[in-house]
Amino acid sequence: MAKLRWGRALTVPLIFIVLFSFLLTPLPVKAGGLAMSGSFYRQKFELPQGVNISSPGIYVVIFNNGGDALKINMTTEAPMGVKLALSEEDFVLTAGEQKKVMVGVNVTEDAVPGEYALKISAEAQREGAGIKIVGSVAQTATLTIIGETASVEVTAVNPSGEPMPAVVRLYKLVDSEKADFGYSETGSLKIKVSPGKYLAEAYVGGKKLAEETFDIAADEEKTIILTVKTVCFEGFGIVPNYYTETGKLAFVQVVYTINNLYQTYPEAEVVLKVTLDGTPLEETTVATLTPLEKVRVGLKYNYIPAGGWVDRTYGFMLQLNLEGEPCATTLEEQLNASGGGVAGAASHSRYYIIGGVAAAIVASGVYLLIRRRRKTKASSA
Amino acid sequence: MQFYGEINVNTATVDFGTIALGSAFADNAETADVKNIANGNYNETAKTDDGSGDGKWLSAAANVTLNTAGTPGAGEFSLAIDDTTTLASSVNMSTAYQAINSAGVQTGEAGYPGGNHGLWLAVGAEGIEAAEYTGTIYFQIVNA
Repeated sequence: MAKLRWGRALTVPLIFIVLFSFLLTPLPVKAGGLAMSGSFYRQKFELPQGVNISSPGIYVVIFNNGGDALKINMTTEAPMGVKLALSEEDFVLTAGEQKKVMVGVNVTEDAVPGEYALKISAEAQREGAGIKIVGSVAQTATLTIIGETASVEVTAVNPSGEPMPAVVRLYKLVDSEKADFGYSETGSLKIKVSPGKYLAEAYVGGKKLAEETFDIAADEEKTIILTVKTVCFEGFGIVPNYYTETGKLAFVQVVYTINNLYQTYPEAEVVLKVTLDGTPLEETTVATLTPLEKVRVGLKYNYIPAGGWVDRTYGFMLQLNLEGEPCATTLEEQLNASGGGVAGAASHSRYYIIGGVAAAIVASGVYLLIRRRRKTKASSA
Repeated sequence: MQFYGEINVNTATVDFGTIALGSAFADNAETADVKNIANGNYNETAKTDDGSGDGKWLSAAANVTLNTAGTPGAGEFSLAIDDTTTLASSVNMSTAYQAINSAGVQTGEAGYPGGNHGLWLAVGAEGIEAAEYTGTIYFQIVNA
């Protein structure tokens, strides 16, 4: 290659030529339209040395809102001893496509305590010659590396106290905000934490079934047991039914739903506990399920006190027993029996209902018969 | 609601044409059309490299090295960028993102009509081969 000498002394060419051009055919990639959203920017990580965290709640979403495919390169910025782990780093987004990238934070033992900024960028890439201009989107978060550590183990157990598979999430509570700290799908999470206030939660089938807030101090080791009630009551209610003639209370219909999220149980029993002015009145088994399947089932039961209604306040509560052991209860619903009047003894109530219905049917029949005869007479005339 | 930031780069490449050795920023000005869309406060930043993180622009003959101080020497170039076309408020580029705007605020769906961003190129007086160079300039939107 011929060597050219360039300098101001030369007349032709005295000017050094630098061609910054785009002589090649423009790429079919439309610039722009690159966007990012997600939860990463909300994070205020406070982590001790030697901790790795990741959670479904920590992520970014990259959007290609342009009309053509974009080749994306993910990059991160973190202090020495800290690594941001991304679920994907290089990928192609077709036009209109978006991708969720999960984010983990790994703080090594060598990381120096202090406050830092973390950054995740998604850069569009463009092939070809010339000086190319590309778009990039990013989110930043803060990281405080704590020198002091503590240890916590969170375990989800069933009502019998046996470990059970569940999603366990651990949050650090900072300024009344929840910051993701740990995540496990095995029902158990053991992790080094920084001193502070935490919230542990257990989920089964996407439903939060147990939680506990706790404080932990430096060098402390704490075990948190989350007792998960995998079977629960939903939609418990008391519906009073009154006699139409007297307005007195005839019976109450107890309506409820049992939601079993975890597994089949060989035997389940639902007990209705009734109080009268706050004093236990009676307990009645209102349903026996053999087995209780992993299902959501709606049930109802018509209740009349054995001694009949009295003009006072009744309390109703359900208790679910699994294999003889109490598992779940409802809140108490109250009913003032004097509100709509009080029926007589329970032994007579059903007869009143049947009688009332029969009377209504007879009355309707007589009315229709009389009306028909009148029409007949009118047409004869 | 989560932060949403979008950047729309409507200029695919920039062509400074033929420039003189030792020429200053004011001698080599170009613009790029870049638009930001955000539902919250944001910053706009920029950087340049060879496309793989190195502070160079490449050519078949030889590479030029990025001078981040804005005073390119032999075999060096400097690039200044601003979110306006005012050189006085521009920022010298490095291989790390540099803020090029004062804090941005929530925009409409059509985005902040910033439009033309100024780009200024300066090169050293010697040590640069006559060639066509390849490099990458990045514009970034980030939550503030």
